[in-house]
Amino acid sequence: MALTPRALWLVLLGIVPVVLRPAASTVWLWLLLCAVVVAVDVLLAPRPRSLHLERELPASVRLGESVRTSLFVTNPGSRSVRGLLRDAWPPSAGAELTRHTLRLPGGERTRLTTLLTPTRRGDRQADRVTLRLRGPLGVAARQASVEVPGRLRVLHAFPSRRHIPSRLAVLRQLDGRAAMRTRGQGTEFDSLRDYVEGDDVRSIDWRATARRRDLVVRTWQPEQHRRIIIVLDTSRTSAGRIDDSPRLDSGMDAALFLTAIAGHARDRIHVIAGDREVRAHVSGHDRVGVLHDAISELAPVDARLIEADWRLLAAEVARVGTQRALVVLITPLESSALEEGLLPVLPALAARHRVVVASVADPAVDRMRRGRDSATDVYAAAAAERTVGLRQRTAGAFRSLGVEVLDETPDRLPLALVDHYLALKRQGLL
Amino acid sequence: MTVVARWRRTGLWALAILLGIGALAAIAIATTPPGNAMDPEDMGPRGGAALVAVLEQNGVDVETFTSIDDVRDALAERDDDTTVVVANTSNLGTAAATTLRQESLGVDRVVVLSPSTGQLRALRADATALPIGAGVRVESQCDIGTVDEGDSMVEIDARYEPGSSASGAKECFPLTIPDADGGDGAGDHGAGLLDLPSTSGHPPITVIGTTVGFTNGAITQEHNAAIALRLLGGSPRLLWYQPDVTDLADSADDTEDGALLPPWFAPALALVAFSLIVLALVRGRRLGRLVREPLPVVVRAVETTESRGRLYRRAQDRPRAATVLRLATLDRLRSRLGLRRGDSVETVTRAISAATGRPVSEVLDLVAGPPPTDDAALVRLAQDLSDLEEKAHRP
Repeated sequence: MALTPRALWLVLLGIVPVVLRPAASTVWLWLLLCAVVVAVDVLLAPRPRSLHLERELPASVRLGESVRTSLFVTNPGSRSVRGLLRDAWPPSAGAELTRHTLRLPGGERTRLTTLLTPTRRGDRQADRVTLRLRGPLGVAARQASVEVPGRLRVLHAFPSRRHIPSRLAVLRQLDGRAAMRTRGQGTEFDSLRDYVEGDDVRSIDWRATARRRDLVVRTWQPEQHRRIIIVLDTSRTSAGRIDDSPRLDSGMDAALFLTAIAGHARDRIHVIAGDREVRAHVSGHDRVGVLHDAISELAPVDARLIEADWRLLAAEVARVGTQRALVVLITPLESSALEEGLLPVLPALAARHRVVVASVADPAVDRMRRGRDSATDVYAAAAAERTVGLRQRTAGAFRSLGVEVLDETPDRLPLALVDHYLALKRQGLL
Repeated sequence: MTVVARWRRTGLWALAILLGIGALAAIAIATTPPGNAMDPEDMGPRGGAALVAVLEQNGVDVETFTSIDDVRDALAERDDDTTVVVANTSNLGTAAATTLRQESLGVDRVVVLSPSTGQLRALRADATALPIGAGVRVESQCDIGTVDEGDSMVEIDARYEPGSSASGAKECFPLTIPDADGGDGAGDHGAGLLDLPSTSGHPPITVIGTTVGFTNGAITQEHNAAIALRLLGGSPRLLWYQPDVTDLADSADDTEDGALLPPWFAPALALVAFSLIVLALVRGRRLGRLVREPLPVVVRAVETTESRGRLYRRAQDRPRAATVLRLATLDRLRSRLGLRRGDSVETVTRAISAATGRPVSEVLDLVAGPPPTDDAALVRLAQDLSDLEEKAHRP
């Protein structure tokens, strides 16, 4: 039960009898009267649980966008219902106006809409819906909270998706399908066709020409149906924030971008996220499906404050298959963590697959490195140089194993990774 | 410092100041009670110790009390051959005065110094008090045994007019206002001393309109001492009643407030208090529970590097900082000048010297010299190294 402001005015109205009959007993009698009125009003108030509640909610929303959730309230009884309804959401769901006034005649149904603008990636569960229904006098109300389940998946903002068209154009050039009609430059034999003016004379297939007595050229197509395995490290080192965004989110951006481009190139993609356990494993070769699945599956994955178990992640990579694949390890180049965890398993991995380590670099370290103004700055610069030196040492150790290392700032890493992939594809090194 | 912390600190200061003021006020109230004149143990100019001492020398048994309950007990024990004096009436509540009147019916005399009209009414003495506002000197102009014709008193600060029902009241020390022709306009303006005979309701009461006339400071002037001794030394036993504040409190409720405030005020106040509770209930009921949310960890990636910098600074580790900076510069210049990692410092130095046009010895001192001895030298070294790099990049 709950009291309304009217209950307060009712008590204060007792001033009138108190003035007329100034005695302590008047006060007690008036309070008793108020208590009786409140009790009667509560008893006559409609039961909140008698209302029927239904939620309408989109399954997911991209971070930074808004979405509306609706509650359909049905009043199955014959009496009119007045009161308040609160549709509670966690703070990071960014709910606006969660309190609604409810005025519902008997047998009718209404729709109450709450605008959600989530501020963080992940799953947001709706909390209870609280109903406070007033009695006929409006002095008191019955209150109850009911579960109306609802889950909103807040997807990664995927900011690098604006680069997809430009990289797809590059891919079409490789494919020979580009508008410029340049020759496909892949290494996989596609077909023979008649020579047309403008074709590269180096691609003339003389043997076929001799048979046909007409100039015939070979066309090439880029490799297809290669395996791309993207491993996202969700351990403690990925929790570090660069400009208020965790490294994991930047790494995820790169992973999604690569998934989108590689999907268009008809490669088979596996996205694995994990630390001491595999948190997500998305695979498929349907390019739209796998990107959608990856965005959805990775949405609730957050960095955890534990060390990564690279042996486990390497085993997960091995489970995908023995076919040679491009393995992209997205992990920060933290020398201590990687030299103990990743370095022991890397030789075996590098021997079987082509391995790329993609790391999110912190521009702040670079800024610190250039500080020369005061003793404090110089000590910080020395520390930054030390950090950079350690990263280079780790990168050097990786490179000596034949592993490519990309260490780029958050906004550059997705492009660098995809460009590296396209370069490999162009050279037929996948 | 965050805004919250700043507000909290301001709040703490305000609280400390308030507590300090409160403590000072409490000390002030506790140490200087109002109207402490005629304290029988006070030797100062406002005390009454001199009078008590002289009375005891003359064989009067002086008993002092500060509470009306103790006075009542003393009177219940014995009330013949006794005089009661209320030496200071500023704390005499009407309830205490009524008790005193009821309990002292059998005593020889009750002497009251400078009572108010309300206190006189509580004593059932039909007289009106009219404060003068200053202590004046007055001639007695009467002969009533305790006061002789020709006596004079100083520090008379209140005058009294007997009411119509006060039969047999004797007035002394009449307040006079000189007439235009120089004669005395006696009788019309009340008297400094009023002697009321006993009635069924009260014992003989002598009212004197002086607060400080019998104090140590003033008793030696004029005939004040003689009058005091005659008034208080009339019986072998004297109960000296010096009411304290608790006796004042007895009267506060039933007279003052009751007279000033309407009767419904107290119940209305109670009702408002209850309505505040109702307000708390109205506002305090949440519309549903608070929603909890597990939050992600917030760690800045650059934190470890910054901490390492602080560590260097706290340890004043100039050699290490210098070594790290030199190695980093050498590494970058090596790759810039197309040298291999394994090349010796001398080779690199010569290449740098050639690229920048600076003498070999100077470059060697910069990249492999002794570590700096103070922070200023370290800053200089760091700046020189970055200058060298810039020069090598843009000769």
